[in-house]
Amino acid sequence: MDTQLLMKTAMLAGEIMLCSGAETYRVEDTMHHILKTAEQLETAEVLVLMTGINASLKVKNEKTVTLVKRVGTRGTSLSHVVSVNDISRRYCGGDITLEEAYQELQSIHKKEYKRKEYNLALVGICVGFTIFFGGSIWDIAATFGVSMFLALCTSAGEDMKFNAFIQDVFLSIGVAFATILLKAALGNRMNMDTVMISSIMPLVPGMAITNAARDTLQGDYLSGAARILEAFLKAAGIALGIGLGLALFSNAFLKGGM
Amino acid sequence: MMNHLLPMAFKVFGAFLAIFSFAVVQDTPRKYLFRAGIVGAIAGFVYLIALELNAGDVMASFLSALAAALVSHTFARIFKTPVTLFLIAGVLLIVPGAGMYRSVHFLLEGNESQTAFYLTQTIEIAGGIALAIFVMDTLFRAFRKGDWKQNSLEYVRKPISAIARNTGLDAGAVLNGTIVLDNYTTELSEEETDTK
Repeated sequence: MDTQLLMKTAMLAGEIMLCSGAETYRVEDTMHHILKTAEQLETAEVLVLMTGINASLKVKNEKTVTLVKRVGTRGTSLSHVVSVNDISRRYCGGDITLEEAYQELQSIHKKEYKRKEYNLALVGICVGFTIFFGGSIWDIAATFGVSMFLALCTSAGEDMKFNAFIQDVFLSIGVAFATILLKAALGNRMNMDTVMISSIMPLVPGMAITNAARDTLQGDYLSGAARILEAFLKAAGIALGIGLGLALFSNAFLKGGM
Repeated sequence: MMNHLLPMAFKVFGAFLAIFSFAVVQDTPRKYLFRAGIVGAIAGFVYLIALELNAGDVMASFLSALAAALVSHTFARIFKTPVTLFLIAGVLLIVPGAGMYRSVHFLLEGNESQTAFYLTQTIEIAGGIALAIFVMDTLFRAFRKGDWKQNSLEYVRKPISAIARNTGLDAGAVLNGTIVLDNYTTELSEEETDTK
């Protein structure tokens, strides 16, 4: 068995998972499973942090192979996590060879949904939350408008390659702006709180909180703490954006301030 | 109670729509979208019922997260997928977005007591969610040793045959769960092979 290829496969699997929003213990676990299939294995160790991966493999009569991988941008793509999970299971189960596994892993690139579907989903989230929070017909209509603006801002922000924090601030300023504009147009028929809260829901750090809890429970305190920080930063970004938006636009568009 | 029923059904539908769409944003594979939505609907239903019974915001969020985690773990075992797929979506419903917004709103208004109230509530709810996930993870870890394991059959037995094939060892020697590779012994216990 090709030790180098095995290492490369395990590292690629880990990198894809870590970049796609899997918990660190899941990444460690998957990589460990892959490395354990080595012939005449002596030791296989994997250390995954939120920002990088270390893995080391010692096979009898060969030198130790160690790889370090720095992972930069992390997004969310659960379909990638599922694909890697599936490939690793099939490989460890003996259904596919190492070469096939490596090739399949390399072919994981594209996202499941087109941008149009993604934008439609953003609108769906906001409208769904307005209904859940008990908004009126007017609120639902207003949220529809605000979330379309949000989708527009999301695309614009992605094109301009903002970093995550600035993107959150930018988007929540956009939400505040659109909501206040509609409030000025619709007046008392619309509940500004409901519309604004529903419209920031796509931005809130749900994934960071979930993964922080699970990583901490697994004993990965470093990753857990990092994710808690991520959640706080995201929350702070949204709060900052909403605050800025309210302060800037409410005097301009709404009579009598907020 | 009857006049509550229709609006509540509508709200649960809202929860379904929100989580279904959120699953799209999270790039969940298409075949799991509907199931993620179901998790959201159940979490939303529990939340609304708890509020109806005057449980309070924090308690309602905790119970809802507990329900979401329970259903997610169950689904993950039935459909043989990572728990994350459903858990992130299901928990989103009660992530304290409202609390975050209101604390900033009152901060700008200069209303310090309200700011402190909503800030505390936000942290309490976030803590409640984490606690709910803790509880369910721990409960299901206890299950792992029992009969109801995630992917138990394929995942525990196949690696043994695969290793037997790769190493050219006698499969019968491997079947009892212990493989001897020269001086290195791997115990393929359930502990190691079933941590997913």
